[in-house]
Amino acid sequence: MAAGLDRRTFLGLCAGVGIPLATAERSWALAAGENLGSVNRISGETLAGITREQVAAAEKVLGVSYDNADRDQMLPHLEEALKAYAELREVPIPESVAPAFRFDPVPVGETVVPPPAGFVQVRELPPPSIVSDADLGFASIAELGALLRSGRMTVRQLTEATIARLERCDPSLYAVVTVTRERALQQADQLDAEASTGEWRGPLHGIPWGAKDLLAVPGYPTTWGSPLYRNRVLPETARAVELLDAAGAVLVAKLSLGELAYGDLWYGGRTRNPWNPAQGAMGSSAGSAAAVSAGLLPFAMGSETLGSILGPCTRCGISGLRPTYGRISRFGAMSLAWTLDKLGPIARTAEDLAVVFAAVQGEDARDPSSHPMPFAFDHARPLSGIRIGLHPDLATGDADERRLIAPVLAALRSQGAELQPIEWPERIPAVAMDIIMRVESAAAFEELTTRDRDDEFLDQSVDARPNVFRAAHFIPAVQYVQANRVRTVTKHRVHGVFQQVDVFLVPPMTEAALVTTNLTGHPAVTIPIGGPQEGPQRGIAIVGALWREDLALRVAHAWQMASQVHRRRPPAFS
Amino acid sequence: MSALDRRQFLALGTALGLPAILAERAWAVAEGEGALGDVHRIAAITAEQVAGAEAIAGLSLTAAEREMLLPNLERGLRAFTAIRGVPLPNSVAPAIAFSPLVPGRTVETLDTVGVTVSPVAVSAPVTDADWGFATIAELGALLRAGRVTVRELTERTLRRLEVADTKLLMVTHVLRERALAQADVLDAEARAGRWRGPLHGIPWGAKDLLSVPGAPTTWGSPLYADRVIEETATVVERLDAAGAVLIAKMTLGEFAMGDVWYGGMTRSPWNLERGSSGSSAGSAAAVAAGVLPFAIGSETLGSIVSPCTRCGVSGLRPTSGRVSRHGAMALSWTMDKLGPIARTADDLAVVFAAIHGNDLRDPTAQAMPFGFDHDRPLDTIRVGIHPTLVRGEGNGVAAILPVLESLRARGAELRPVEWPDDLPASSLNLIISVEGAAAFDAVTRENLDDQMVQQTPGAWPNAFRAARFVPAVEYLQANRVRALVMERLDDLFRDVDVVITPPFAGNVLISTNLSGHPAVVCPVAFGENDVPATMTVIGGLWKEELALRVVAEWQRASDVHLRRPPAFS
Repeated sequence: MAAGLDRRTFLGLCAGVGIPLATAERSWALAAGENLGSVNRISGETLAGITREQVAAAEKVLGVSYDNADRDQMLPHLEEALKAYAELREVPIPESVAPAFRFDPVPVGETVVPPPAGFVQVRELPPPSIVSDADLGFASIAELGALLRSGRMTVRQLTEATIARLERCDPSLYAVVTVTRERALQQADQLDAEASTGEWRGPLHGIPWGAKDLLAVPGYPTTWGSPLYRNRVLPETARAVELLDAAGAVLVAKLSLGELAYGDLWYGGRTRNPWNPAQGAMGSSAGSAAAVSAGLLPFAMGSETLGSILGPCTRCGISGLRPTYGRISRFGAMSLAWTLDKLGPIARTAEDLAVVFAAVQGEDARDPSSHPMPFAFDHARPLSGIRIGLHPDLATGDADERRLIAPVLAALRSQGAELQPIEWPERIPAVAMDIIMRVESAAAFEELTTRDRDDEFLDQSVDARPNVFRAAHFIPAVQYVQANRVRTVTKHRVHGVFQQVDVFLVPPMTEAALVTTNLTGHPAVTIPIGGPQEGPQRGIAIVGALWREDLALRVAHAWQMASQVHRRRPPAFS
Repeated sequence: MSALDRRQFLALGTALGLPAILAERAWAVAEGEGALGDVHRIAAITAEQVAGAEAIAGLSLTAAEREMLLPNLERGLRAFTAIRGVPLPNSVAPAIAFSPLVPGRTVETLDTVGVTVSPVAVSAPVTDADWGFATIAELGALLRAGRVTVRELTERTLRRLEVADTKLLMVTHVLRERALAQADVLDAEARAGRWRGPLHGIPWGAKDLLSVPGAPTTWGSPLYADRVIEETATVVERLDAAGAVLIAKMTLGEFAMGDVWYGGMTRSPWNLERGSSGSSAGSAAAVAAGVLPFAIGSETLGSIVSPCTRCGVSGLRPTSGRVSRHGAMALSWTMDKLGPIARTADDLAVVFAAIHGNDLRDPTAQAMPFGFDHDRPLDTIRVGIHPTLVRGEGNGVAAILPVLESLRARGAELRPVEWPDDLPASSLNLIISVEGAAAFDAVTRENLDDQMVQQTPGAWPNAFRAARFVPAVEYLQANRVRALVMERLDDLFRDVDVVITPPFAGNVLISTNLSGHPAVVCPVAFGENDVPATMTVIGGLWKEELALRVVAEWQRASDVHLRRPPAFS
């Protein structure tokens, strides 16, 4: 308090500007740290703590509006609530504990026909001719498999060559967090031993891959892209990693993600777009997309909550699959938003996506959101009979985009698909997604906010995590529940679209692809359609009905059989 | 009217050596109270307002952090407005749903098929009260023996109900025409030798949060006293199909809290000066007064256990997700459960068998099997007893100790258990008030809550208003702590199948309502002035059969459950 300034002078000052005396008195008391208390109108007792004024102030932030009688009546409730929050904060909640509710993509009252069961049939390709190091890097899963089975290369050789190319190229990409060398070589030797006795585990036997560094693998840090966790080793193996290990794939690296699954900036730097190293790869599956795009790996695992597969895959000119919510177990994966997160494969072809997806999808009792369904894929099955919807946003992009989309539609038509325009349901507030995601992610990282560790995050800007998490604390729970009820309505409306079509096409960086269908849990495949020789690439998304990744992948494959766009290589990595 | 704007005021304050914080607060307080009049518009969110919100959310930010928040918070307000633009009737549930399954744990199911209850002798009731206090099994025997038609039984029930209701205030609407029409159909079937099952012709009441077309579904509130919902709740459909005859809609404390509804306070048949407790008020009172052999109630946090205790009757709160809630008012989507109230465990089993099961219209309803074998050997059930019963002291303990002796004598093996109490289960009450506030969002925002029947601090209007200040992050965290509570209870129920406990011991009520474990409540004694005492038998998930079996055994050993309130004998 300034020397010489006393309460009387202050009150006089306030009077001089027309502030009522009672108000000025309360204000002085507040500033002086006096325990103002408030009057409980029922008992007449004065309570310490929350004041009517604070309630009034909070109303402005939370978007509610009460009169003084209401405010007074609730003060004891609010005090009790504070005690409850304090008690809850004392409970050590392991990171892996999800809230006791789950999201189910099926709308109430609807039966969704399960997809057909069966096998994954992809083309059998001859071993590719490998002239350069890049040729090996850009080979597909089937081509690498053929190479290994022909005996021209051992798994160990392929692993070492892959690691060497990764290490050579990564300094300009910032895509690799950790090379899992020992683990990879150990696996490679085991797989070579099996191959030498004629045991091949399947199409992924010996195929190198990278894991977005939110998938736990023991023995190496699992950093989540954050300096907070750069040395933190988690004891468990993520389910997706287990399954890929079992399928014989060789994990060679943990790949970058924007810190805590936001963007492309991690503690090692900003991951770059191989098509324009001055530009970020987008995120948050930044390293996964960049590494595959630059021909360093045939596939990687990424994840999406709100665009983290579709975004970087589009920019980096490659293919990605964001599956139906619940298809791939998230056990051992960092949780960002429990009811929105999905893991998904990133590769250069739809066929490769199908092979990887088949290996990692399925039930896991440890993931309460896990919802098993069959998956089958047949590369040779014609498109005729598939009803493909055309989202209105296909016509609203810039001239370049529309020019690149046209041949896609033509190719699909010529292969027998029925294309028809769809009406997209009346716009449901995208804010429902915003609210749900912010609240869930803030809760998942609550400790960091309440213990002030958020000061150590890389990005402290207005839209980055620390501020977003703090702000999320001012979203009322009632709004979160309401957002989830709007979500229920959204599910029904989108379900209605899929009564007319099996899949629909839409540009990837649109509300329908990124927001609405992430909210509803629908699967989406994104594939490249072209782009400049230097700069961000373009893509198209194929959104499928629930659990119909097979249909979306078939459509993607059909386009990729008709064009060579997906085989383009970024000049800097050719 | 202020002659200065905020900036000028603050500048003046600084010039006079006033700390900024003081001046800022003076201004904000004045603004908040409208003391400055309309000269200054209430601007976008201010740091001072955030400070107020922080206090209520239990958060503590620096001034710099607060400033940085402001655009985000304004965005939030716009978002809330957009959300409010979407019409959301009470029947639209959130896209997130509760399941009692604990991740990674296996589900154990029992293998009993069918429901077999204790046989009863057919003995014609003598007095009107005898008819009223007959069990489902007894009434079924009388109907099948041709001693009474469904119509006669229905009319008799209607008469007794109307008389009793003048004292008990337990009925919102009598469904006379519907009941008689049904009765005639059922009598025709009976004459043709077609019996639908043990509930054929049995009268019952539905807590008035279950929708039935043709008469109001009031939810106990003056706001909905005349509102008809043209939809039949699944539970009602199933009981109709089973041949039970719906007689009346039974009272509930408004919006499922307590025993005060728009028509007054439902009374306990044991003491007409006292409320029946709630919120399944009329359902419990009607059964206790020998007006109906069974009724359907619901529980979110005590609304079956509490009125059954006050009224001295038996009730079953099933495992979460056992009974479809389609057509039932939603209070708390993750906590509400529907269940039967009756006078015996056998009756509860028969009714439950008819109503449980999955339903496309309620995705939380599961298809788990249920069977009841009244002869299942007691020693196949691992029976735990709550620590207060082991210690022999505490609220509600004394009345239960003789029950334990009786069960032991009849072959039950009772073992002490440690009830988990390391987690702050009572802090999780906010889950209910938040969900309730969302379910009744429009009532609060449109100020309809002023018309609600109860306006005390503990009643819904205030609770809903206050709940709107609960941060969503706290709600999420509460649900994660709930997951831990579920794990603890799952651990406990690996070693026992059921646990006997006083109904309100420790955190039992809140934690088992959070976890979704089933509970059977039944009277064990009557104290001074006929005040009933009860016990609750908590079952492992989906083990309603075992909890019912233990209660059935007690009811064979005693006749406490047969006692009749003097005013209704």
